[in-house]
Amino acid sequence: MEEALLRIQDLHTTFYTRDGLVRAVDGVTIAINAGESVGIVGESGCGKSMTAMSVMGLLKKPGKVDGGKIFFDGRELTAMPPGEKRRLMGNKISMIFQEPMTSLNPVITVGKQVREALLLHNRHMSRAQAKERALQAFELVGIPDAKKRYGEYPHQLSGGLRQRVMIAMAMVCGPGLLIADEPTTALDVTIEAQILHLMKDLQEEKGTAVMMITHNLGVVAQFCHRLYVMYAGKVMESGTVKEIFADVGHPYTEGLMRSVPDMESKERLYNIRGMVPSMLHLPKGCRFCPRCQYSMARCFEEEPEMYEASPGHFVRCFLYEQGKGEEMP
Amino acid sequence: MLKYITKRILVTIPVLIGVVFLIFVMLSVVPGDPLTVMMGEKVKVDVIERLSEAMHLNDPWYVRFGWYLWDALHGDLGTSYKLMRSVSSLIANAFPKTLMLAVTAAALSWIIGIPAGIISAIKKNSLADHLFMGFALCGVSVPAFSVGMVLQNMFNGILPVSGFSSPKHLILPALVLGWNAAGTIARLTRSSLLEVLEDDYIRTARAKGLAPVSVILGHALKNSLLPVITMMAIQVSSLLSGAVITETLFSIPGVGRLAVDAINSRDMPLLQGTVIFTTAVIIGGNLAADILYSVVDPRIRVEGGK
Repeated sequence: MEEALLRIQDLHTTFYTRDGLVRAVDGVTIAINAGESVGIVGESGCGKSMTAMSVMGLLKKPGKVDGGKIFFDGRELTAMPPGEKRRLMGNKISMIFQEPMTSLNPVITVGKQVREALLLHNRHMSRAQAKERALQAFELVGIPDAKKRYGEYPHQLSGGLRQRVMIAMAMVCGPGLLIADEPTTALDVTIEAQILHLMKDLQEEKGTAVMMITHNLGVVAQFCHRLYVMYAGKVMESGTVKEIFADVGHPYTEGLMRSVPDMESKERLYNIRGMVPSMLHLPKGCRFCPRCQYSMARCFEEEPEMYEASPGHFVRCFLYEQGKGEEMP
Repeated sequence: MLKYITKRILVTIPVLIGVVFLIFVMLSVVPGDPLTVMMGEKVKVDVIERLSEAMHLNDPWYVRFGWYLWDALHGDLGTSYKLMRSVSSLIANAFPKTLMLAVTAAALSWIIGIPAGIISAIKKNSLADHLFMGFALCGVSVPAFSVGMVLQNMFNGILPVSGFSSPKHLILPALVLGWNAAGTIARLTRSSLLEVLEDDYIRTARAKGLAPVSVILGHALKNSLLPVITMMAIQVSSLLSGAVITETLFSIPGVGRLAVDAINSRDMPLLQGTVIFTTAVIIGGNLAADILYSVVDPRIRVEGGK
C-alpha cells in the first residue's frame, strides 16, 4: 500500500483537568492520501478539532498528546524536535480556523500577515518578492482589489474576505496538506458556498490534500472523497463519502443524517435522543449505546472494534461484526 | 488622523474651563479673608478698602471669575498672597524639578516594569514570576511615605535623603515613585499579555510556524501594550503634576510641594494656580495617550478620523 501523506495512528490526546482526565481524542486512526479531501464529522466536543490541534501541535494546556504517532510524508511529527516541526507548519501543513473574525492580528495589515509566512519559510526571498507572491495569493483566492486590500487591517474586511485572507495565508507556501477546522461555520450561507467553491478549486488545481473538519454533512457531501465520523473521542465509521451516503453503517451516522433538515418534509426534524456523554464519565462499553436505538445488552458491557462492513468501509458497531451485518429495521 | 487629533484637542478646552470654574467657586466659598492672610490682623480699614478695590475683592464672584479667566488666558494666574510673587513664575520655577523627578521615575518604571511583566507572563507561575509580582505588589500597595521613610533610613549617609541640589538627590525619590509605577505597569503588562496570548490570532501565528519568541514579540506584544500605554500616560501626567507626598518627604521644591505650602498658608491664588496647572497637565497626558493609542491601534484611527 502506498504511504499516506498524513497518517494518524492510535492518537491519544488527554486534558489533565482538576476534575480528572478528559480523553478528548481516544485512539484515533486516520489516513489522508496526497491530493485527497477527507471529512472529519461529529458533534461539538467529539474531538475532531483536538485531533487537528494535535497534528499542528497547537494544543493548549492542560492538553497533551500522550499516545500514538503522527506521520507526515513519511516523517514522524510526534518525534520531531519543535524547531524542525515549525519548518513544516504553515509551509507543508497549514491550517485555517473557524473564526475568521478573530484569527487575524488586528494591529498588523493583512498583507504583512500573509507575507510573514512566506518570509519565514523562504530564507532567500526578498520582501518585494514576498509581497509579489502574497498579492498573487490574494488574487488566487478571489480578493477583489488585492493591491488596496493588501495594506488594510483585518477590521476593514468582511468575514468572508477575512476567511479568504486566511486561505491565502495557508496556501501561499504551497502546502501538501490543508487542515480546515470548520472554515465556514461562522459565515452566512452564500459566503459559505463561495468559500467552499474556492477551496475545492484550489484543492483540485494545486493537488493539496484537505482535512475538512465540520459538523455539516452537506459540506462533506459536496467537498470530500472520504469521511470519518467521530463520537466522544473515537472514530465510529470511516469510508468513502459515496459508500456511506448510499449505505450508512453506524447508528450514530444514521442519526446524524436523519438530523439534516429537509425542505420538502412536513415532519418534525429528527434528533438523536439523549445527550453527548460527559467526557469525564464515559459510559462503559460502546460510547454511543445509551443513545442508540439498536443497542443490545452486549453494547453496555464490551467496546466494539472497527469492523469492515464492506471493502474500505469500517464501522465500530457489533451489528457489523460479521461483515455486512443484519439489515437494520 | 489630523482631524481626529484636532477634534481631541478642541474637546479639552471646555473641560479646562469647567475645571477652572469649579476650582474658583470652591475656593471662593472657603472661609477666610485673603487680606488678613497677607498682612495679619492689624491693618487699617482704609488700607483694606483700597486693596479690596484694587484686587476686585468687592465684586460679585462671577465678575471676579471673568477677570480671573481673562488673566489666566494671558498666562497670569494671579499673585501669591504669601510670597508676593506671580503664581505663574512660582510654578515655572518649581516645574523643572518636578519634571526631572517625573522623567527619572517614569523611565525607571518602564525599563523595569515592562520587561518584568513580559517575563512574568511568559514564565507564568515560575519563581521569576512570583518574585517580580511580589515586588510589584509591594510597589503598588505600600504607600509612598512609608517606602520613602524606609529608604531614607536605609540609605542615610550613603545617598542624600533630602533637598534637591545634585542628580544624586534624585535617586531615592525617583525610586519611591518609580517602584510604585513599575509595579502597576508590570502587573498590567503581565495580565494583558496573558490575555492576548489566549487570542485566536496567536494560534494563527503559531500555526504559521513562528517560533515562540517571534509570536510574542511580533504578534502578542503590540496588542498587549495597548492598555499599558494608557496607563503610562496617566502615570506620567500624574507624576508631572507633582508628587505631593514624595516631594514633601524629600524636601524637593517642586509643584507638589508648592501646593502643600499653599494649603498650609491659605494662599488661595497659589493653590488655585497649582490645581489648574495639575489639571492641565493631566488633560494633556490623556490627550497624548489618546493620540498615541490611535497611532498603535489602527481600529481607533479609522473610527475617529478619516
